[in-house]
Amino acid sequence: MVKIGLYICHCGRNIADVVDVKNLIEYFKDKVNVVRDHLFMCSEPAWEMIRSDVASKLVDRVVIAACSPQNHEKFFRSALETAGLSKYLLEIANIREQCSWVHGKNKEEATEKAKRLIKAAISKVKTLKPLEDLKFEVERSVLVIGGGIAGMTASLDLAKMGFKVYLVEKEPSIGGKLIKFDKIFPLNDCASCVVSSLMAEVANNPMIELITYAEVEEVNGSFGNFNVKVRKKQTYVDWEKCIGCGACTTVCPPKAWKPNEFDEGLSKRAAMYIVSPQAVPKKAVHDPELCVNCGKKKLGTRRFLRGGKEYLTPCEKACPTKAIDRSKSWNPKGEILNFNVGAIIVATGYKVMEKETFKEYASHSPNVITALQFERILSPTGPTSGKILRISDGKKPKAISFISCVGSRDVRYHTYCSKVCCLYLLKQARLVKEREPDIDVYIHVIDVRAPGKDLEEYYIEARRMGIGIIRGKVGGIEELPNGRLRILGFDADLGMPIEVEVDLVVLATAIELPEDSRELARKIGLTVDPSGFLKEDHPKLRPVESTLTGIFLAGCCQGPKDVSETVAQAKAAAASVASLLNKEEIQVEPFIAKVNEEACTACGICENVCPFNAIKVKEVAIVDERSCKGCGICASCPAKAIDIQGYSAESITAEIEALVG
Amino acid sequence: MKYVVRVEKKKNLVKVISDLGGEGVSKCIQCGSCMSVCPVTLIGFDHPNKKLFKFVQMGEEEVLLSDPSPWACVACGRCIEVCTQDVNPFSVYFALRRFQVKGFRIHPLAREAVGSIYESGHAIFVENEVEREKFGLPKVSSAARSEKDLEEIREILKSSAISDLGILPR
Amino acid sequence: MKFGFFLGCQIPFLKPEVEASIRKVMSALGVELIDLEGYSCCPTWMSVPSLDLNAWLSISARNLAIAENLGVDVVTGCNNCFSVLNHARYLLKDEKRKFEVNRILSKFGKFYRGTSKVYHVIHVLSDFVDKKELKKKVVHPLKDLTVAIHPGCQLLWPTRIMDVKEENPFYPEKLKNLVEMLGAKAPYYSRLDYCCGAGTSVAYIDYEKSSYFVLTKLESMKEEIEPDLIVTPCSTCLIQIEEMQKKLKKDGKINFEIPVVYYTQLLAICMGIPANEVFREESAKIILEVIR
Repeated sequence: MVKIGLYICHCGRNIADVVDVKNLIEYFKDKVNVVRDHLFMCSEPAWEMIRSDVASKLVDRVVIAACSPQNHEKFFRSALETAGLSKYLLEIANIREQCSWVHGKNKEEATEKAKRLIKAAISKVKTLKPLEDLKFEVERSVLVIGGGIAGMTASLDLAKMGFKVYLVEKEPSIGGKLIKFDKIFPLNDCASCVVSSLMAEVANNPMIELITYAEVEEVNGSFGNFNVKVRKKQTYVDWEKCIGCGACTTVCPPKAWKPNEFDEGLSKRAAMYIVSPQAVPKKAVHDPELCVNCGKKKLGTRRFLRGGKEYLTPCEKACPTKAIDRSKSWNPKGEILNFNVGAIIVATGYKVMEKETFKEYASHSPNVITALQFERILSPTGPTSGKILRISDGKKPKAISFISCVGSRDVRYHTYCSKVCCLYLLKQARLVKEREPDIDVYIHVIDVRAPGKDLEEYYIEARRMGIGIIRGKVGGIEELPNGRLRILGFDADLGMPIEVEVDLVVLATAIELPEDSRELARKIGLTVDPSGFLKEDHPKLRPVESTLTGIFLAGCCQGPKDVSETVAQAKAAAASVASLLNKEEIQVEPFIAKVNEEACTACGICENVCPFNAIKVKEVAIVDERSCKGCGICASCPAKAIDIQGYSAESITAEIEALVG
Repeated sequence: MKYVVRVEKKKNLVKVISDLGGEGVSKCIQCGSCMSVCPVTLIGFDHPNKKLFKFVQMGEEEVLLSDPSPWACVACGRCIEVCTQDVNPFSVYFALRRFQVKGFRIHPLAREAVGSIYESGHAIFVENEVEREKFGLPKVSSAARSEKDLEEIREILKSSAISDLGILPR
Repeated sequence: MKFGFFLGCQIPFLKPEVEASIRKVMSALGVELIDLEGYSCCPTWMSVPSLDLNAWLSISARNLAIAENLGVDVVTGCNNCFSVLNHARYLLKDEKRKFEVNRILSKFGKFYRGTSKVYHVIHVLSDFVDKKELKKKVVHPLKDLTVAIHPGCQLLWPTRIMDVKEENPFYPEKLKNLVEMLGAKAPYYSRLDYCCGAGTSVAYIDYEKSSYFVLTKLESMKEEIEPDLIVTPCSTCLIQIEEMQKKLKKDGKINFEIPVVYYTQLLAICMGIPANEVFREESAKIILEVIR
């Protein structure tokens, strides 16, 4: 007979205020061998209590009635393990998140529900068998996805610790969004100076393999040994030969121009282009969708002139190293790279919402721009070389209005605060005032959020510089016939509506997760939380871990952050990776599919349904322990030959019977 | 205009206003976007919408009962379009009208309009059949021309809370 | 194409010429308008909706139930009716409210289902009538005419309650396109979407302030586009702008007066319908002078 110990947590008042713990103890005292309660079951004395009960053989199965197993399951398991019992003979009944927190208004019924949850856990724990952790060798290398400030920082830290790093960036150059900025708060130091040196370091570090203009296609396996497929996109330029001189980009005809992504659409780029003057690697890329096939010479074909001389397109002719050969039949799909890594850091960054979403803000006007576009206007590498001019007519604006919370703190779009807008608007406004003191500058805010070191001071200084801070959300913008814009604002201090006529409007549109990051999350199984960003495993205790073991998050893909926070998180992610990979082998929970070879008929259904390609059927079904994620789809086996360890059909049935019985 | 707001024991007006159709009032974060486009604000009333919403949240009954601003709402609906928190300021404004009505503060125009609907089925009604004929128009097919239909309108008004206000003709 | 024609109060009793223009234009375009027998006031914002939620929804639902029984959607020429009925429809999506309303309506053997949609005359012309057919009917196109359009707030906002919506309600296109189809120019002016100040009651609470709306609007259009004519699809706005313009001129605040017409009145003339069938005598003279 098994001996069951039941440990009920009060969680301070979180549980005990709603669920009648005394009642539970009374109810269960005859049904299990030991019942104990504690104000905080996650405390050291409580841990010792459990351990000693197990060690003194009072109990050999443990049920904890407390919070979600997400929080402290590992902690409780360690008590069993220390006492010499298999740590998997433990079951948690979640009477907090699934009971007291959601049924606060109905205490009696909540207590009843807690009873049922505990009964189910008891029934299940009776069926559990001792299990051993799986042990795997570790691959001492890391994949970092995204070459912005977060990805670069994490890569360098890991490289310095001796790990091989594959840094994959989807654009032709690393540098991310930050390389587009002029200056950054709170010191107004040069963004380029911060980023450029990092870019060079990344490029020159022998431990970092830089794979730009590439996207992650597939991730298989699990922590310690992921198999990664990366697609290196086709550039139609031989990067071995390209020296980044830019000769090809200057001869590409205007017919083949389009809005330049690097300048946020404020300038044009050609079909043959180099992302930016600071690009790393500085290599040319060809955009086949834009290409006009000069001289009717299509990609992959040769063309001879009447005299028999071969016709060369302007780009081919211009290239001093013959890196461009348009007659070569390049594979349009590019090239698949395949490698193994022990851990992954996702640092794919953010995008800002398009201005077109905000019709009430006259977004059709060229003089209404996003803050990221204004960063380009401020930048010395931007379309105006850092001069404050309107792109529409090249004239210096007399007045500029900055509008915050455009798409943030707004139930129609995103309920969260994008966190950095207040400060970057203050920065942009200050830069305008510094360069052109005669331009009137207004910032419309719901309130100014500048928490933390140096930031409130930064805001106060902006006020002293004569920047008009108007507290009140802007309701609309009207275009005047002369191209000027009338802001329909509100001033909470005056308690009155306020109209401001300006020449340029800058919208601080919300920060959000780009669609391709969402796609990536779907591919590798990461969770997107209700805010729309990638979900961390625990907001307080595991803020850089994703919900999947061995995959970590850094930077704005996890939520809006400024540069300092992004760097801090990237460093934390690198350190977390190192702490896990610095071992000979890793232990993995044994909750994977187990085949009863005698019952297996080798019908092959499990192989077909497995989403992780973890089952191969020969004489019998064989599970690849590294790839199996324990999802349980294969347990629908018609011969009932497959069970998930720890979640066997017997266990689940026992649990359900107790719940409904 | 009130100069000091003395906060004593709070009255739960959020529930009262919600029950009158202003469910969103507790969601207001005072961002101000409704005020920037509200015609009532532009016309210069003392306590335009978001200010009144704050009074609701603070439980300030006195101001809410006496301020004429809710009656100036032009029902343009622009506030609903720009509200960042889905407060539906428009509905709260109308809930405030109903709140004042419960305290027997009814704008004379509203009293007149309801009376006219009771009498003729129309808020505005004038005999103009001669003029209509000149434009070749048929007789208006409304309740004004049908005792049975008019009786239905009257029944709706009589069976509602409006009957308690003593404004319907006996 | 068939619609239940919700006349409201203002149009049949104060502006029969507008009603005539709508009926004539629609019939020429093959749109059948069916009179709603026994309808009442929508009821307008300043009346029942200001006093009691349930009574408002019951009266609106009663009006809509009449159309539902005929199996037709509703069309109205009045922004106010359009707004009140659509707001009611929106609120009555709540089953509890709907049940309460039907409890009252059942006393007279009526029932509200929510099946008839509510459109504005402008929506029928812009979204239901074939554009080519409409264009064909315009036999006297306008020339060298600049029109200031005034759609009226309640036709634009809130889009969530409407079945036909502007793509961008802050820069509306439907009325503009309909006016331009007649050959006139209808340029944007910055206060195009501004309230005329009539709404439900501002004019009664503060007449002076109410005129300020019209003044702001007139100044914006005069300064920015110099219109020959103001075109609106709202009977309330029509009355307000006409009246306030006279007052502002008398008070010396403006020194001009721009004629105001309801859209279908202008359309009727362009379709060759005699002006005196859709205008009062005096207005007919003025308008004919302007568009000649």
